[in-house]
Amino acid sequence: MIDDVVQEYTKRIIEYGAKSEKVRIALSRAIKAFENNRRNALGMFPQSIDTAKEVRKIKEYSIEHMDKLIKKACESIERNHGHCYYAKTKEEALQIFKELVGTGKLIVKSKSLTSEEIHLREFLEELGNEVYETDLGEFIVQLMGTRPTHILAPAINVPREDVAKLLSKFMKEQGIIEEDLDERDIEAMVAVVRKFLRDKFFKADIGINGANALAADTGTMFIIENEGNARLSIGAPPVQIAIVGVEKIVPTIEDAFKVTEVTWRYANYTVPAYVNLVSGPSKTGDIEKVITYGAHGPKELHVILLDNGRTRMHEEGYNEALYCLRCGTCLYECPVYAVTAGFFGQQYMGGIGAIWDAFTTVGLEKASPVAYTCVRCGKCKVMCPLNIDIPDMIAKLRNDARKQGYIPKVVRDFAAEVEEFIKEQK
Amino acid sequence: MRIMLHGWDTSHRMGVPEICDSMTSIVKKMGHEYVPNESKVICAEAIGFLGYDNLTDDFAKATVKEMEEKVSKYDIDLILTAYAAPYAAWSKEREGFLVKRGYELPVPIEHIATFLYKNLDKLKFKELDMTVLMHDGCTLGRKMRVADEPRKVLEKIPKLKYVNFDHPELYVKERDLKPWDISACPGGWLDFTLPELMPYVASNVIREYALPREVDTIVTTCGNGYHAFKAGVKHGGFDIKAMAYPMLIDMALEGVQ
Repeated sequence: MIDDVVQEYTKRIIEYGAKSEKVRIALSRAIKAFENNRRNALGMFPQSIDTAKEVRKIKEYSIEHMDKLIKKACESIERNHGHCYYAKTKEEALQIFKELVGTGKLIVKSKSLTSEEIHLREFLEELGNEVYETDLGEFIVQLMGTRPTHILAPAINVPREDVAKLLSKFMKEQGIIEEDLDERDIEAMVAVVRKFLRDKFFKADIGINGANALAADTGTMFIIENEGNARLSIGAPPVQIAIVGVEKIVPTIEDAFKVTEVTWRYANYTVPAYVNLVSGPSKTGDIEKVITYGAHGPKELHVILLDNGRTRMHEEGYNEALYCLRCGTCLYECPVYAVTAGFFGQQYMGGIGAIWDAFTTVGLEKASPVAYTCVRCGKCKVMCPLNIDIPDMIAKLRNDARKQGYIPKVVRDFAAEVEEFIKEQK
Repeated sequence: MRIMLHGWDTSHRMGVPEICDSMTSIVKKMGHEYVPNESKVICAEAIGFLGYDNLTDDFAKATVKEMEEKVSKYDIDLILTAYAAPYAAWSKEREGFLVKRGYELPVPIEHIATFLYKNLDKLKFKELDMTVLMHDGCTLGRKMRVADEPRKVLEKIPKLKYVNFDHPELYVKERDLKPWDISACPGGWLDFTLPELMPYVASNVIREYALPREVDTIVTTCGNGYHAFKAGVKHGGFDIKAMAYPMLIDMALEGVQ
């Protein structure tokens, strides 16, 4: 079975990733831009480098006290008149969504890796809802019918020429434009998507979002963005549902500020256009100081805290993977990712993605070839703001894979030679 | 001095022929005797990285046993390698992984770069009028911080110039990063895990980091890296040479004073 998994994975990473000139060119452009932007961001705000050290400590504490913080965050959200749910598994989370959403709704969704993890959009569509990804990259990926290939820039592997073709076809069908878009005119591409989605934001029944951090003491979610789509998804529809991984919870709102600052700085947003803070449903006390819920923003807020393997990750010694801020640095720095994009991974991506895939999405067997794709060169660790030791965790994951019999043949053969040498010496 | 070369450094069957030939040539030019080593010994640390922690101790013991036999049979004074992993595992001086775990080789082990550096005053080099792109192996440079030693040796070769293998965009002065912190790996270890992918990774690293520097040769302190660069040059059809560190040294080394 593992040999079939390796064969299928190898075929995919070579054929769609390594052999694709489009992937290589798109990534080459993106990596150069990322490196320049990050140097500028950190050069302008060098204090973020020290804040990153503090954030490492905050995350270490938070992961060690995850149970306590989940309880506290839930109490805070409820105190703020939101509704808090704890989902141990993907299935539990989807069941909660099913009960909250039902069918026949128009839904706008902002980018959330946690929602990707549980295939939320596809699930809601199957229930008979109309769902739109509103982050531009995610929207492109949705139209293409593929999956994101970078955690921050989901359509990083798609060159502008392909985007123009894709949007021209879709927007003509929707009656938004009559002529094909010019492949050089990125501004026009952005404008048609704006026109199309703006209408959806205000007609939507439900808005769905993820979060970059959640402060346990105040129940406040922090959502970083540039496009303004998260702000509209959160603010315009009457119902807001958030899905947040439990590793995102930190003790205080001050901690959450530090976490988000380091995230955006290393994600090369010198200053992001928006940082949204949401603690509860909209409210007003303007008439005789009587607090009334449901003012201009959503009337209901539901927050689903998702475990789905995170506690097990902690229990089995992969704490550092849970510190990940999802800034994307490790991917941009990885020499393998530079030619394979998201095909280096099953659902999550890159070396750290192997660990996340093993625990939260496809399981250890399918994560094994991803772990063996990592060259353990350690550049990711040096460049990571939190100095997460991905190579060390990869070695551990490979050992866990061996214990379950999930080792690729080429490695098994090599180990057999070593065993033979050991036998000879005995 | 009687020097035993590590298995990959001496055996055309197991290793990269150009590395084997340059290593033996350097040892001879320095006036030492060398003892070939046809065994499969690599280093017990790497087998753990590959997912076989359960073999690490037995492999380490078997390695020590074989080395003890060879040292006693051939009267060996030193083990020499162009590969970082065995050095990182067994060097007593660098508190190697296996030394910390309680294993010890009967004689010291040196990486070719540290060995040359320690003998730098005695080395006689001829002129090499070329500029090379210096690539630090991930284990040797990034992990072990052995980066000055190979450079000091290069600096002693008349007319040779080197530039570092890095991306200027990666530097943020407050982070105090060094070229060896950020040098990109051409994917040598993929040869053991996903060999089909290695030429693609290596050729892209060459395209992104080496070609813009307008040098005609990449030189790497990583044995596996050389193997990858060589495959990358071929795969990309690039007009650039790849060399392992001992190959460059062998070109310039005339002997010892």
